[in-house]
Amino acid sequence: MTFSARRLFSTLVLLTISSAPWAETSWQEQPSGPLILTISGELDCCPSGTAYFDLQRLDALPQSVVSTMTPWTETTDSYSGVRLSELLTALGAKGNKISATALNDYSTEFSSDASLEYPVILATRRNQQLMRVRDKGPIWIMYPLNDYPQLRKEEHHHAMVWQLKSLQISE
Amino acid sequence: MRRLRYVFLLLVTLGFAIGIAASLISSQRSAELTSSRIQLSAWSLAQLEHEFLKFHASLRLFQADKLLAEQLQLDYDLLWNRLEVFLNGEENRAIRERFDAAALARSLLNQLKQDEALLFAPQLQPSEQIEQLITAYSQYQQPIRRLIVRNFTGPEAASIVDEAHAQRFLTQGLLLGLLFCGGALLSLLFFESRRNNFLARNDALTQLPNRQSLLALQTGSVSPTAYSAVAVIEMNNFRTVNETISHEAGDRLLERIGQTLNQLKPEGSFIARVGGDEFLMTFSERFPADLVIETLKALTKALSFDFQSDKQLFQVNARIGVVFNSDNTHSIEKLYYCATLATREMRLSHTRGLKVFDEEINHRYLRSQQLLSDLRRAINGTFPGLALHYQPILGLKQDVMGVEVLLRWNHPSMGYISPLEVVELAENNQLGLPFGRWLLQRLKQDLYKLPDEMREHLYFSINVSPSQFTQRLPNSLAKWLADAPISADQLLLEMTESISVANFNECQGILQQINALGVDIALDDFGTGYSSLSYLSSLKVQRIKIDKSFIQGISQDLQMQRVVRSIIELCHGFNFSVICEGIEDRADDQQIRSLGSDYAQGYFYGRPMALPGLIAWYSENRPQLLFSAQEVHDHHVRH
Repeated sequence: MTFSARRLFSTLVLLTISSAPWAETSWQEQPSGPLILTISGELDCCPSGTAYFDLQRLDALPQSVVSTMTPWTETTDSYSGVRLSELLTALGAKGNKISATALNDYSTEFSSDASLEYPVILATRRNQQLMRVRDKGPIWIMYPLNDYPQLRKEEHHHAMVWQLKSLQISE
Repeated sequence: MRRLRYVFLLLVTLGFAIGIAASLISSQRSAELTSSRIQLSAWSLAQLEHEFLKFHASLRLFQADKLLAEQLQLDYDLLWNRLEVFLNGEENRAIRERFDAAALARSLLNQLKQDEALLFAPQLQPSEQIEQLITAYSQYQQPIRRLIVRNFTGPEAASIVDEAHAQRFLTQGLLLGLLFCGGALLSLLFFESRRNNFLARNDALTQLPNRQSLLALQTGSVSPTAYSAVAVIEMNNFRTVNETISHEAGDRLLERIGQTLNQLKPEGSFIARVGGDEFLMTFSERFPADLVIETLKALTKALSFDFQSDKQLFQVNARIGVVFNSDNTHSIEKLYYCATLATREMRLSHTRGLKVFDEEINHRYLRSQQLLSDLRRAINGTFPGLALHYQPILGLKQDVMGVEVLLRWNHPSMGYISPLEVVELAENNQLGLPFGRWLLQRLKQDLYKLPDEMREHLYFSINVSPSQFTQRLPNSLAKWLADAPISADQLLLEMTESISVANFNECQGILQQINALGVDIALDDFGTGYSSLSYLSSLKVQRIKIDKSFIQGISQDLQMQRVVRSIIELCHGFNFSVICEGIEDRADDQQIRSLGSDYAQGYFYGRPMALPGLIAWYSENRPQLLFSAQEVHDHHVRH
């Protein structure tokens, strides 16, 4: 199978079995750039159970923007990245429990309900600039606290994991 | 008292508000103290120490060549981020403000920033400089550790715990205060509503039950009791006091009346203030009729007193109408109604004292109501019987003749109604003005029916009632004269003294305007009222009509002759001409001529006649009349 034929095949498969047009079966392979996010669980896209992302793969997905202040920043900044709900759909992930782990091994578990209802993103940029680790990068789970005051709760604050390293999706 | 209540209410509300605000602040503070110490501060400090130790360990591992530079740099970044979070994060505010924690974190962050160039140099290798860094960062280990320990123990930590306890007591105290304020507000509300309830059913001035209470009695929402009698007490002069002095004086008068009524209240009686100056008193069924009468007589005495206000003295007195519930069958509503009818009669006849209701009173009232309704229609021309009659007035000294325009009402079912009753009815029921307009209109119609010669020779004298005597009277007379077939000097107005006495100055102005039209004024019923010489001299009238009570039978009464002569001389002294009315026979006629009267009126010359009668009378008597003392042919008398 040539590259274009495989590409065509995978696109057809995606169109028929998944409603997410951006899913890539290649996600289960190691990316070419530095690995920044690992997602594991029962994933339609990746029978091996693990999907790997570098910045390029994340940037290839539709980007959303959230402008907000957080309890750890003093200004309202514009954060951009893929919507968590869209990423989960693209992955064909089963389950609504998400366990997020950071570079320093901080880990927390939260339900995906809020991310389905509100535009919760995996922010990779703040004010169009990539975030370094010291600036809570490379990925910061960002809730739109300014636009939805009902999200300003300890429960969601805990889920706003910075320096995100991996997500584990489960039932 | 009222102001004191408002101040109290204000204080309580203020206390309530302050209590709530203080409680909020206090509880917020308690929550902060607890949470910052127990959870957040512990977590922040633990994270800080963890990232620091990890970085410090990485430095040593790297120096020992057992760790990649990337891993060291990652730990550097993580520590940097942790310090930023510690210095900026909202949740760390409380701990950062204690024990110089912020200064320590800032100093560590500055150290990191200084070392960035070194640690992120390309091809980073273990070196002497790294060794120095390990020593430098060791300096921070003890202070961070101490921070954690001091957060949990030590004097500041203990004082925080003590403060938290103190806050708890404060909160409890504040809540108790709030409870007290709430209780005070509730009791205030209770007393206010009780007071309002009382005011709704009682009169604030007299402390007596009000009309509302009477209604409650009527509708039976208060337990029904039997009454032997019900009296309605109306005050005379209350309105005068209210209007001429002040409402405050009126209030004081009412208070005094209320006190008197309360003092004299018979046992088992119910007294209410049902109107401005109207009170109701019931007598329980144990009261026999004669005792009721005695009680009320005593009450009329007690309620007649002189009321002094400023420099004015008012004679206050009461009229009391009472009705007996003889067969115990009537409702309080009906009894009240009957008693008001009795007082009404006294009011209309300007009498005072006590009047017992009987069926006659009711009959008279119903009759007057019927008459009033018919009079209204008669004035509008939709009810028959109302007409004008004319009685001749003869000039005794010159060739002039006039007629007095008089009212006749021959009611289809009630017969002849006295003009006095008709006028009184109109006056008491705001019909005075329409009635006056009707009279002038009818007179004009009649005038056109007279033969020209007769109309030109006569003058017409009409009576003006108090309610017609207003600022608009001159104007309406002028309008009437404009298209009437007589000139102004053929019109004469008759008014009673009482009109001018009521408001002398205003009256003078109106009289002047009427005179300016060319219309003369006669003072009617002279000698029966208030006549005073100074008043007579300044009043703008041209004629005086001596009341018939002075004239009737004058030929037999020497003393009366002297009195009338004096009056006539007096009037002439003031330049008034004099009319004597009530002349009934030749002897009277001779007598008043010799006394010097200028005009004469009476049955001897002619009775009041309808228009055709007047025309016949005129043609028959005109030739031989006037200066001679010949007998006048009066066909009414002869037939």
